[in-house]
Amino acid sequence: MTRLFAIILAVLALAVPVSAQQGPLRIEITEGVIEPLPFAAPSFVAVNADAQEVGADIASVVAADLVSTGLFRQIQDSAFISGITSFSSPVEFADWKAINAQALISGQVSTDGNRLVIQFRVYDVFAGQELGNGLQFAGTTDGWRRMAHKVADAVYSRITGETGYFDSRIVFVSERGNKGDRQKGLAIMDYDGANVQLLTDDSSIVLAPRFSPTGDRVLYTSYETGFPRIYLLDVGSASRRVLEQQPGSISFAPRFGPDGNTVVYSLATGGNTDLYRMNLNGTGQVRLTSSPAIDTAPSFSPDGSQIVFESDRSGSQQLYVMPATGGQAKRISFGAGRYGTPVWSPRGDLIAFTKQHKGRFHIGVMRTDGSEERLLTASFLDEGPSWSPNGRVIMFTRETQGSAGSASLYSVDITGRNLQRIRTPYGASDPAWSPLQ
Amino acid sequence: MKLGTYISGGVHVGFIGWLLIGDIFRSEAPEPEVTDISVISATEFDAMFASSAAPEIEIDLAQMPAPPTEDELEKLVELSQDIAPELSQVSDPDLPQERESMPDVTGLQLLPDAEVSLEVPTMAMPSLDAGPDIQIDNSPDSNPREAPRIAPIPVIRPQLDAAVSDTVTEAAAEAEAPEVVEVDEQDAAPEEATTEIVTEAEKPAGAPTSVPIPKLRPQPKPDLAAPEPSPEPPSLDTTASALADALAEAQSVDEAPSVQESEIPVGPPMTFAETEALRVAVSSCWNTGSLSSAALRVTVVVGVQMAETGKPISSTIRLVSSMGGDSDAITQAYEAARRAILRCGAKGYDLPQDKFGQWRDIEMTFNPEKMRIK
Repeated sequence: MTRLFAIILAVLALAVPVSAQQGPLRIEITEGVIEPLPFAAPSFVAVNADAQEVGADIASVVAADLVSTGLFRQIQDSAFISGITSFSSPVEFADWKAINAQALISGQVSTDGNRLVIQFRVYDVFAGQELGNGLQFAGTTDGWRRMAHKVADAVYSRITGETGYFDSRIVFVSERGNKGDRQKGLAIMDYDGANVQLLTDDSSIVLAPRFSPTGDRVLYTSYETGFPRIYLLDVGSASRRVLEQQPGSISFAPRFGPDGNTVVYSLATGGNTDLYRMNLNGTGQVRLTSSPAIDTAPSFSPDGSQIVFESDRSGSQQLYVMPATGGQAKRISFGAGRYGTPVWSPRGDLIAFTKQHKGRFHIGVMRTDGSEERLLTASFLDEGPSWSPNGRVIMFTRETQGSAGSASLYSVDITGRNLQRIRTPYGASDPAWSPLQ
Repeated sequence: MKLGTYISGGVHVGFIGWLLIGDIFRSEAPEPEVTDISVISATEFDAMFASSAAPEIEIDLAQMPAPPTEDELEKLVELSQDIAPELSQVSDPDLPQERESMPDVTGLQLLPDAEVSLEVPTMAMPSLDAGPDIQIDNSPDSNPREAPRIAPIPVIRPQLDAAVSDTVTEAAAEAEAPEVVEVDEQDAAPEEATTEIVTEAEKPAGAPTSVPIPKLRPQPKPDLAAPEPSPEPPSLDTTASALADALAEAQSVDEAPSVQESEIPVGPPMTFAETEALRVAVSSCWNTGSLSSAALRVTVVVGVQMAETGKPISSTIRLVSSMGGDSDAITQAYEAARRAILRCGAKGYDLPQDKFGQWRDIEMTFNPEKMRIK
C-alpha cells in the first residue's frame, strides 16, 4: 500500500507543472558524454599538379595526429557527400552535418620548386562558422611532415583550447640485442615515431636522456669511461662534452632547470648519494641534500622554485618536495608501495611517478602536495614517465617479462585513457619529450 | 428401658475390649536388609584409591610432529573429500532393485563457468541500397495484427491462353543504373560514450573491453490525428533518398521562425518530466571529451530560440553568461555547448506543441563540474 502511494506521488510529481515560468525556460545540464569528436579532413587541394601527392600526405598526417590523441575520430573519405574542390569556395555545411562531422579541416597546398606553402581553415560544422582565422605555413618540401604537425597543433588548439604537442620530438635509448647483452645508444625521433636518428653509437651504456627547455641540447648519463658520467650533447651537431667529473664520485640522473642554464643531479661520494645543482658551464655547484639516504631523480617545478625527488630516508623509497635552493624536504607520497622517478608536469599541477606495489609497476599522477593519487597503468614493468609539452600525455617505458622480453615506449593520457605503443625500429626505453619546436 | 441400656452398654464395652485385646490393629514389621561389611584401615583405603588415579604422561614437544600448515590442511581437506567412505555391501533381497541401476555419479565434475561474451554485438547498420525501407511500428500502443492465413483479396487466376498482340513492342532497354553514393554509416555514426573513466590500473582482469552501446532513445510518437500525406511514393533509390533526407534535415536546423507572436500557443507551464526530457536530450550530445581542463572549469549559460518544430535556430544561440576561466576557456566551453544544442536538435527536440510559448526561449546552463578530470 505504501509502495503504491509512493508510485502515485512520483507520477503526480512528474506531471505537476513547474512553478509559474517567468522569462525563458531554464534548464541545467551537469552531465555530458566523453567521446572522440568526429572530424573530416579531406585531402588538401593541390594548387599545382606537383602538390597533389603532398596534399594528400599532409591531410593524412594531420588526421593521424588528431586521432592519436584519443579525443578525435576521423570520418573516412568514403563517407563524404561532397569533398573540398576549392579552398576559397563556401563550405556546404549541410553535407558535412549529414555525416555527423563536427569539425572540418579544409586546406590547400602549393609547391614552387623546393618551396611548400600550406593554407588551411578549421570549421565548426554545426555552428556553420570558422574556428579562428585561416593560417598559412611556408617551408621546404622536405619539411612537409613537420608542417603537417604544425597544422595539427593549430587544429587541436582551436578545438580543445590547449596547445598541441605534435611538432615535438622524443629522445630515447635505443636498445638492440638480447636482454642480457643489450647495446644501447641515444636516438631521437618525431613524437609519432617517424624520422628516427641515432645520436650516439651503441658502444657504451647510456641512460636517462633529458631535453633542455629549448629542445636543442640533451643531458644524459654514459658509462663510456667505465663509470657513470653526465654528458651534454648538442642535438644539431651531435657534439658532446662531459659536464661533471669529480675524482672518486659518480654522477647521474641529471635534469635541466626551467631556465636552461641550471642542472640538478645526483652525486654519489663515499657511499652516500645526495642532490646537487650547478650551472651548465660547470660552475656554482651547490649541495642541496645531506642525508645518509639515497636522494636521486630530481625534477624542477616549471617555475623553478621547487624540486621533487625520490629518497629512501624514511626507510622506503618515497617522493619528497623541497625548495630549489635546498632545505627542509616534505614527504608527499604516503600510499602503499614504493615511489620513484617523479617528474613535474609542464602545467605545474601534477607530478608523474613510477610506483611499485605488490609486484606490479604503475605509472601514476598526483597533485604536488601528494593528494589525489591516480594510477594510470599497470604491468610487469612500467617506469620513467615523461610529460608531453602541454602536460596532457605521459610517455614511459614498458618492458615485457621473460628472457625474450623487450622494452618499448608507450603513451597514455592523464585520464588513463588512450594507452598507445609508439612504434620504433628497435627496442626503446627512457623517453624524454622535447618542448614544442 | 434400663435393661436395654445395660445390654447396649455391655455389648459396646465388650466390642471395644475385643478390639483392644484381640490384636486387631497390630501389624508385623518388615525384616530389615542385612549387608555384610568389613572394616578396613586408613592405610588400606589410601592404597585402594591410589591404584585408580590417572597415570602421568610426559610430553616431549621436541618429538611432537609440527602442526599442519594451512596448505597441508587444505590438502587434508581435499584428500578427505576425495576418499569416499567405504560402505559394506548390504545384500538384502528385500531392498528395491532400482538402487542398482542408479547412475554412477562419482566421475561427475563441476562444469566450468560458461564463457559469457560481455561484448554487446553491434547491430550492423543496414546498407542504404539494401532494399526498400520497412517501417516498423514499435509504439507501445500498437497491437500486432494476426497474419491472415487466407489472403483477403482473391488472386485472379492467370489466363492460361494468353492472347498475342498484333503490335510489336521493342524490348525494353536496360535502365541505366543510378549512381550510388556509398555512405559509410559506421564512420558517420557516433561512437559509444561513457561518463566514467577507468584507467588500465583500475581495470579488473577480464573486464569487458567494449562499452555497451546505449539503447536508442525512443522517438517522438507520430501525430496520428493529422498524418501528413507522403508527397511522393517511396523511391527505390534508397541511397539518394537517405541522403536527401539527411541533407534536408541538416538544412532545416537553420530555418527561421515563421510563427506570429499572437499565434504562439502558451499553454500550461512545462511539467518536470517535459523539462527533464529536454535536459537529457541535450546532455547526450554535450561532449566534453575534447575540452581542455581549463574549459572544464567554466560554467556557461547559453540562450537559444527554438522553432515551433522543436529545432534550435542556430543564429539565435548566444552566450548569456559564464563563470570561471579565461576568455579562451569560455570560448571553448561555449562552442561545446552550442554543438550540443545543435547536434541533438537537428531532428527537433521532443517538446509539447501546445506549450510552444513556454519553450520558445530557453536558457541552458552547462555546468561541467561532474565531467572534470578528477
